[in-house]
Amino acid sequence: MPSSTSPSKTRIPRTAVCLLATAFGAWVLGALYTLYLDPEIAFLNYAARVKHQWAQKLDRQYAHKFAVFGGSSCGVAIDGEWMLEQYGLPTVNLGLAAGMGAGVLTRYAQQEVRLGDTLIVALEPHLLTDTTKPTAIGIQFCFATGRADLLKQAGSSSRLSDLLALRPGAFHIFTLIGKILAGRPLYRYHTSDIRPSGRWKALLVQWPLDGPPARGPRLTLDARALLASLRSWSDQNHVRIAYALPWGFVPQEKFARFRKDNLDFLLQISEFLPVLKDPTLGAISSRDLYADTNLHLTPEGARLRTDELARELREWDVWAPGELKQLANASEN
Amino acid sequence: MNFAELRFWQLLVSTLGLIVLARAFFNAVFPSKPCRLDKPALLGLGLFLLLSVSWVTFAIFLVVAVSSYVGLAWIIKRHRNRGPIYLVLLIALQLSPLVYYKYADFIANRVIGLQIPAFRDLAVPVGISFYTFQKVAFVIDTLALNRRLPRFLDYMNFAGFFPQIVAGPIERRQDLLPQMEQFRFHWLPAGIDDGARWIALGLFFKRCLADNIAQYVDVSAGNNPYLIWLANLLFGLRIYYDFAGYSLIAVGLGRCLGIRLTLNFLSPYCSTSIVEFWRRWHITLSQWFRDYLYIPLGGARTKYWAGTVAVVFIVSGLWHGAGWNFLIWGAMHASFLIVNRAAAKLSLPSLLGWALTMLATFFAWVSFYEPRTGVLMSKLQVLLSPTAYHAASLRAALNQFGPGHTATLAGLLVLTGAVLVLEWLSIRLKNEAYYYLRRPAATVSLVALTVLLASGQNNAFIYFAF
Repeated sequence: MPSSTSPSKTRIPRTAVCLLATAFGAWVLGALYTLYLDPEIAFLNYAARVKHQWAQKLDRQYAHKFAVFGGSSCGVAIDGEWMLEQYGLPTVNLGLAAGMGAGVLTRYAQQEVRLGDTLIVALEPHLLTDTTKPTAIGIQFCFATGRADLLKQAGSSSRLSDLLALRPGAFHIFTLIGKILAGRPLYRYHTSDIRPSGRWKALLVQWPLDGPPARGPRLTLDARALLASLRSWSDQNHVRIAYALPWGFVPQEKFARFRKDNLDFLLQISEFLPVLKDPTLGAISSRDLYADTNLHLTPEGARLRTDELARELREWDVWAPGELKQLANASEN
Repeated sequence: MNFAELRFWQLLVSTLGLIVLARAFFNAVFPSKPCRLDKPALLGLGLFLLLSVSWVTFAIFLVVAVSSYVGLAWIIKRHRNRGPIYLVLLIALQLSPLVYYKYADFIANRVIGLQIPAFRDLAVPVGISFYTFQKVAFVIDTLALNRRLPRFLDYMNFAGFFPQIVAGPIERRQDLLPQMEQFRFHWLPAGIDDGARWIALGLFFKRCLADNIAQYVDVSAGNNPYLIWLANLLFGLRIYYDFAGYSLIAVGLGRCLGIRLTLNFLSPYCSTSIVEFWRRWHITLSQWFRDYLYIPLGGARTKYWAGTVAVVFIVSGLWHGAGWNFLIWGAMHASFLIVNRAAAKLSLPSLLGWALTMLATFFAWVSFYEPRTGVLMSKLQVLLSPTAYHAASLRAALNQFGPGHTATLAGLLVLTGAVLVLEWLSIRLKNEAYYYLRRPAATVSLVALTVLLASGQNNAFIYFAF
């Protein structure tokens, strides 16, 4: 073992330089893989392009559009074509992946909205009871789609840490190896699943689902800041805005508790945004309406969800101030 | 001072850059005078990095360090003849912040039952157990062995050397102080190369293994013995790679600066007995307890050696945390060690010895991570009940994670297994811990694996809490 004090033949610490070069090379390879080969990022990139094209088409053809955004619970649930054909509501589904984080999802959606549009926030509650800062997938998505400028607005700490997130990570690599060994598709969704208005089909498997979806009880500080800034932005840009709670599967025995939790959550949201008056309060106990997770609706569930959202939007049916509070008090009793 | 955070490295590199510039400026302005900036600069670097952790941590460190030195100087100057009495008083003074921050709640509220609310919210300052023990050892070594008082600047660099200040190794006066007295900032290519290999290995242990495994440590597993064993296994791997990772980075940083720190871990999961395990796990703490508690209490030469072992391990358990669970963990290891010593004449095959050592060690980890005494007892009962091991529990354990997480966990365990095999080969074939993991090809591979596999989740080092 070389001693730190032993005389060296060279002034350059070759091993250290070699290790740094290895780290840099590995990062470059990881970044190239992430940006160009990662099947999840490739899917999200393609989905974003489809959604953008649909949004542009609506912008050209209509004076006003509805944009609904959130994670994959939104991506699989809201059928823009159905909204347009059945109800005359020009709607784009901007739902992507909850794993991107609330900050990136929100800033991405804001980009697709124009003066006078209606923006429906359908972020999954757990995204707002946790940090809203960009996650690795969110950062990778932004770079892959050429929207790296969104990261700062989404709460990224530094450009260097963003760049360092451009690598696959253990979960991705080991899952990929597992899929290759098992002969399964590399990603659960395929680009051909994406409809022109942005919705895609959830994976139709009927394994047992537990519920309700896990989340914290309170909005985090950065979630509150995000909602406040979103409200302020919508006022300044004359964008009508409301929150629509995603429908989550919950077994019958936990149903009442879940509705109560959702009411508490909506009460907090209503401090910042109007909340659409969904009579289900986001709690669904029919397993048949759910696909692979307790937030992913089947096409049949998606149709019901779309119909309900269309009704709320046509009537602009939002909870009046105090109504949610009364309901919460009633459920306490 | 979290070596796993980008911020630490940014602060370190920028501060070292400033020091290099300051030296260059000094040499340019005073070409004929020797530069005396190195030691103050090293101290400034350490204090600045500590301040970047938190000002409370910084302030308490300064209080303990300065009061230890001043107290020691006062005793040496005025009361050399009555040293032992003043030594005890000074040690009590040194330990008082540690006792207050770490044990006040446990002693006052949970043992005595006083229910003092102010003690409940006390946050333990980062690294207090480590630097307090280092300074206690320094005071004892100086007074008991009649050593001279070093210069204040050298002492402060000994007490506040940044790589080891918050989580060890707990260095001894004779090992670190002479190096600090000779310290100069030199460009040491061989030292930097050597240090870089240790840092690469440490970062791999921490960022690739410990932080990824941490996501699967489910300590909520209640009555399923397979899940409790899984939690024990994963926690045991995590805490080893977390703490060893920190220690190896500390060693590496030291080497880059020309300072040799003690290796705190020597592949403990390759041990074939509990006695050997404790020679390989957190070595500097074990040595501290051996020299300052076990031997003064009589060591192995008295007929009460078993009681002495029990006392040492219970105190060691409490050093890790103020809670009944840590006391139980210490007592468990004491009993393992007593059985090990008592059965020393039995010559077990290495494989059986290793299996029994690992069984005992991983069994005991439940006491380390489960602070709720009632739940801990219930878990121990489940683990020890043969009837709890039924097929339904096994099925539930196998279905614990979804397919993606199962594949990830399996991949991580395979990777960990490969690392443990290389650790074992290093010891058995080369008698040098981590030898094969520090070979050039291995180091390059580990760096690439760290970059590609490191968890996005950056956890603080577990031992910061101690």
